[in-house]
Amino acid sequence: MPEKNESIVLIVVAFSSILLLLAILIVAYIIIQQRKKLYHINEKKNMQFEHNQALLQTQIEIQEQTLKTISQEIHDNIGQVLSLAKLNLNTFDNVESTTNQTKINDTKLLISKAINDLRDLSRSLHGDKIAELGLQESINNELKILENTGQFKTSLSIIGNIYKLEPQKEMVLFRIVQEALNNTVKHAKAKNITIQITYDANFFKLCIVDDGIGFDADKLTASQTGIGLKSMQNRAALIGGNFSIKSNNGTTIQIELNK
Amino acid sequence: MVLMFHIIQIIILVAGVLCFFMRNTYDRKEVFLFFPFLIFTFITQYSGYYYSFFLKKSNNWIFNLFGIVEYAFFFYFFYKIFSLNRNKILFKVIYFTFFLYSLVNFTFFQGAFKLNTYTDTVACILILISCGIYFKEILNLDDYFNVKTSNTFWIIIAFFLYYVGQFVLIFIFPILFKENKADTLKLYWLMMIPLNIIEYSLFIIAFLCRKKTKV
Repeated sequence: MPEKNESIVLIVVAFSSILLLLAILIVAYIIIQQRKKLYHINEKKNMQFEHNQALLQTQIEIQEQTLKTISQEIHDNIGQVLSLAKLNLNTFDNVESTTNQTKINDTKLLISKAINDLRDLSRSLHGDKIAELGLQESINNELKILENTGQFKTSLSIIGNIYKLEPQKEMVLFRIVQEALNNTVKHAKAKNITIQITYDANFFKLCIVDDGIGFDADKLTASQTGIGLKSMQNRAALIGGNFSIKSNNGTTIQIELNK
Repeated sequence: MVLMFHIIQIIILVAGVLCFFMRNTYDRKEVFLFFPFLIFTFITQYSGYYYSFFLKKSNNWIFNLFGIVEYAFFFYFFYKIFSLNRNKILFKVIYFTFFLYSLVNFTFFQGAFKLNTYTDTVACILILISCGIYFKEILNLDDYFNVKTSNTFWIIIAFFLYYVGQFVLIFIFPILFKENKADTLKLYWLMMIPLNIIEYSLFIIAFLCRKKTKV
């Protein structure tokens, strides 16, 4: 009888141990499956991110190409037409009335101004010219254009030893600056605009500061942020930059890149 | 054996206290119900032990009553964690039927003073099925389920291992008990001590899991 009991005990313990082992295997399987799922989700996210980056890159390339075409059109076509118009005005030699002569001179001045403005515009639109001038010079030109309107006081300050970024990054940063300045002119009612570029050994930082009325960044809904702000964020993301915007009394836009 | 009984009670008490102190970190509010449940378990275990020790009477009725409350609580917890409505509705009916069955068994069939093994057997099967359904729901989730931060997951693992471990014993117990009471009780304790330690230790692990808080 005790032998029989012993074998029953042994069978019960053995069966229970096997079942317990199986249960542990099931638990391990669930945990492994969850890890696999996490791996797949991350992989999917990465693919989605890469896809978005590629899409953004294409969008920006198309945009750049369009701007380049417009820039060429301004330079080669409208610019030429205006130059011809100015040349024609110069051929008016015998104008009897002084009033008419003054009008012709004024028109010549206006056409000259238009030619100069269009040249500046053409330069700021043309990607190759921006690459040729470099980021600082291009930004400086933009600020000069604003300064020339007489409505803004601008300044550009450089901190650290200047180094060249990749041309594509400089182009993207310049477009962000253009967009920010455009927003300032349109909405900020600012008087002073300051751009600060920091060249550090570890990072590059670009700050665009104005003393305008600002806006409540937290209250802005997706529809209100507009294409401009989104475009700046997207462009910064494309070059792996951290984009931040602070707005209270005045607005500060900052883009930071790891070198 | 008595020493092991006290050790298990200490683990239950530690789990209960921990459950109280970690109350703000749980993935679902029902986890906190384990605090009163574990304290109630601790009190019942000692009440049963000393009732039998001092009065020299069978404490079966205490544990039979405790079983009804325990299973009702477990099934309430399962009902709450199922995410599919289909499962919720189906098991609501099954759990309620089981609750009535356990009351009827306690009152009429096996009675209050005889160990309610029928109730335990059916409860064991139901708990294992419920664990299986919970696992299936987890595996079918579209999103990633973080086992490291889920208190519920480790509580269910505790149930699962405990009831899988006692599955064979719970079926064979009434037969063996009739033949040889002393040896069957020895076997019972031989298996229940490690299983209880596993179960309550997993509860402790479950209460220690915390969600990552956003800084």
